[in-house]
Amino acid sequence: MTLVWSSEQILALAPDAGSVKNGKALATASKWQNLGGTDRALWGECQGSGKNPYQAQIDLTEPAFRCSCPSRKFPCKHGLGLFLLNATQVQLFTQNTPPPWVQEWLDKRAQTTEKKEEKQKAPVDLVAQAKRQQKRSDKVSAGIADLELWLQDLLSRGLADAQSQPYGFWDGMAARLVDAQASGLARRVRDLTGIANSGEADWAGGLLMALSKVHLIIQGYQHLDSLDPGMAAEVRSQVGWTTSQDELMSLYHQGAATTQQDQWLVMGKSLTEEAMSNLQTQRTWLQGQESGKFALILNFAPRNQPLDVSWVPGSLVPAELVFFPGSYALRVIAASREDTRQPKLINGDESITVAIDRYKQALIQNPWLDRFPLMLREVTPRYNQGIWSLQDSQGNDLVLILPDLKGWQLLALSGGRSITVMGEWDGYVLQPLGVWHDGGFWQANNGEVW
Amino acid sequence: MNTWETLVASALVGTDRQPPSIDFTSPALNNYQSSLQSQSATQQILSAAGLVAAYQAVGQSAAAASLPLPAAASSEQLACCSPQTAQHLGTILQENRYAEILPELLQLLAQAQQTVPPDFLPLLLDAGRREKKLRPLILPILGNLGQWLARQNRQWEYGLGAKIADEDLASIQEIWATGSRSERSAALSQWRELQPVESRQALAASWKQEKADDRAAWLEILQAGLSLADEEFLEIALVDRSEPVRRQAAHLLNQLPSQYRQRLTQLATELLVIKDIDNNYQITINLPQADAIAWIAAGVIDKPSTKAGAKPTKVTLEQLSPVLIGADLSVWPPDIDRLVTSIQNLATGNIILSALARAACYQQRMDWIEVLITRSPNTFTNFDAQTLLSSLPNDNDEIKERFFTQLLIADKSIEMLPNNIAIMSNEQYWNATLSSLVFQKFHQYAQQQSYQYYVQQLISNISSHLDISILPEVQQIHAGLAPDKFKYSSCIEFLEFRRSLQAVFDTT
Repeated sequence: MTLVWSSEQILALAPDAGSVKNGKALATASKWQNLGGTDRALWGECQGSGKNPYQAQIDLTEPAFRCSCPSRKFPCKHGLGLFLLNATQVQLFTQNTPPPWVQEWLDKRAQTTEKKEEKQKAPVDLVAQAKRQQKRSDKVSAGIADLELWLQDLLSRGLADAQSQPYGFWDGMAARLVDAQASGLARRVRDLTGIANSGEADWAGGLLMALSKVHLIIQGYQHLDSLDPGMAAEVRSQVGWTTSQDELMSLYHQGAATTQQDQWLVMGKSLTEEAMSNLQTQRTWLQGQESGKFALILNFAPRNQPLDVSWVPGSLVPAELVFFPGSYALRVIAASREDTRQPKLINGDESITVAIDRYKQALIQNPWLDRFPLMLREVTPRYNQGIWSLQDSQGNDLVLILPDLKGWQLLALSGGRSITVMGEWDGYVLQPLGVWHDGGFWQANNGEVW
Repeated sequence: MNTWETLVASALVGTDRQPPSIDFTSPALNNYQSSLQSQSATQQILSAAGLVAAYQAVGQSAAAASLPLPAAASSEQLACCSPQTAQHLGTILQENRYAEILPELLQLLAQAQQTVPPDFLPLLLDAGRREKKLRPLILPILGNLGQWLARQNRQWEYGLGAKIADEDLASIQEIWATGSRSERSAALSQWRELQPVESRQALAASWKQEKADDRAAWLEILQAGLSLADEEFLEIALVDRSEPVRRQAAHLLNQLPSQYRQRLTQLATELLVIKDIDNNYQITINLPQADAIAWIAAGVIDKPSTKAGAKPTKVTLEQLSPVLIGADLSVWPPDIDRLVTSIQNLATGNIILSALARAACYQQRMDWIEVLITRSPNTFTNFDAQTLLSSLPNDNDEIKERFFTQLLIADKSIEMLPNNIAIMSNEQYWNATLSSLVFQKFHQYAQQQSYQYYVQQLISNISSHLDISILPEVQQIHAGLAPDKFKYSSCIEFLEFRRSLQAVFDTT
């Protein structure tokens, strides 16, 4: 069954609020001509300020967009307008043979995919690779040695003293780690500033916990050889020594990577922004409908730059995913994927206890797990004295973190009845990302940073 | 202190001041105690903290809910609107664009007996919380789910006043007797529509127990189905100790050929003595004494103070306006045109004309209204227009059109256009003829004005009332405008949005 796109799902693809507004304004029949569509693509011509109309087209399989307008936004307002118009007035799309400008683009896309696969299959220069790795290893080791000394000083003088330190105290160490190519550790050290200055009553407990995780990474890195391959890979990843997508695909082609073929439900997306680095991170959570496995697709981009929009929350994508190595592997990239489609049945844990047990099992394997997906079936949202929560049929409660308006929308979607909610769990609170109700899907987070 | 608290305390002061003393209280962690001994003091704290934190995280369990869940909403009776309408609603509520069209969209939804998607209900209820005038339009489309949601949030309590689906009189009476303020308000409104007499009797029965604010609010509800049968009760309200209640009672009585009107008519003829001399009306104003009994009894002037040393008060014509507003206009000479001209020649002519304009609106006297608009275009206030429009039956478009047309035509210099637009905005829709006339006047006005922002605000207001059939006319004028002249892009965009919004309902 091909995916029937809802307006909400389409608007979730918009790069910013301005695009949402402008895309909606263009979702009117009077703005378009030569509208057409097939199962594979949509196209249409929109009269803009120029002499010739803009040619907008959408490859529905991912989806991917292209438009002849000069906008640097992706997708542009014409792509969104065209997509929205199709979602609400499909009868207007009367042409069913792609015109040459659409067919050429679709053919080119197919060729690009083939070339990319060929490149990934190309043999790797192992000697050069080993040389590069040794050089980096030396830099990382030196950075970690400095970090260990810094931690020792910090704990010797006490957290109360550390709290009174200027930002440079933390940022200096973080910068040192960036130089040492230990970006994962650098991020953790940078986050310490926020904890120390959070003003929360238990800032010291939070800071100690965060420091202990940094300490654990250092300990693990210093004993890499004695760890099992999964844990060793996890520690390297925590340090910031991640496997690149090309490296992973190369491993895949050699048959040396963990893969999973499944029908993947796109459960939800969340976005975080790092103020210092101006970098936004998009997390897209998936669950295999047959394997039950969770998977995470990470995308990074500078603020205001487009992120991958091809994994649409609420949809189902048959795909072969390749897992990055790790002790509880979640992060993936797609080796191959088919057309996006409509899910028939939504699975989920029947109780909060079962879902949290799943998290605990993951935590035992990976103590640095920051966020974990919970997919809760038959839970009822409630609001009591300023606190939003979900209650399951066994009478257990889970506290939610979300803006008030979203909370009321969640409550309205349930009408006091049970619904299925997916969210990111950090061990304390759940941030809802997707909701299934009455056969429909509602995206709790439309790309906002909460 | 437990292990974690001990660790945090040690970390806070630092190992230089206080070496850590680690004692795992949980037996599961005791095995790790010996492995810590070989580490430095700082490492011991960090390793132990990591162990305890992980142990606590893995050991956590789901918390039991402390309260039972509230009852779920009843199944929805109203159909959900189309995705296109939801998109239009999103543009208005989420992007805050075309907010002026929200009442129109709500009315279309109510006519189609549709509700909105669940996730729009909080936005809609919140819009009603902010703007009271939207509430009557929101209530019919809330459906069972919207009412249920309103029950969960005290700020949306007004949403509980949604119409009772089966119009069950017994439940309406029950709500009137026991409900919250907004529930009682909705119940009385509905009861008044169904049984005007019984509902008023119920109000009279509880009248003395009601708070002053509530009494004024309940009286407002009697506007619907107002008749002479209400007169006796309104006379009681006319001498209420609360001023807003008295004012509301007079407002209602002014609309009826009541004894109140007869009393005021009598006083009015004493106040203005008009003689027809040589084809000219000679008008004498006889202000009563401050202690005139008949005037005090009518509630027009206050009883003079009996306190020692109180200064004697002087009655002014302005103070006596209610008498002219309430008096039957038939008592005045029949040549209205000549009479108005004569009044205009008086020093206090404006006070008298304003009162007579209001009386004309109360009594729906178009003969008076037309003369007053022509002779004195700025006599009518927004309140007068509201009075006239609210007292007219919904389908009486002819009087409305005549009134508005007269306002526009009489304003030859178009100086009064903003004021007239404000008056006309009391009516949601203007028909095609009126819309065309307004647009032509506005076009004249806009080309003369140098304050573009102000003109832009005015066209935004106008656009939400115009009939969309004039879109080609607007587009044509817009296309022919010189680049430095005021343009109608926003008006065209507005009308196009309204056209697409209405088209959804036309096709369904």
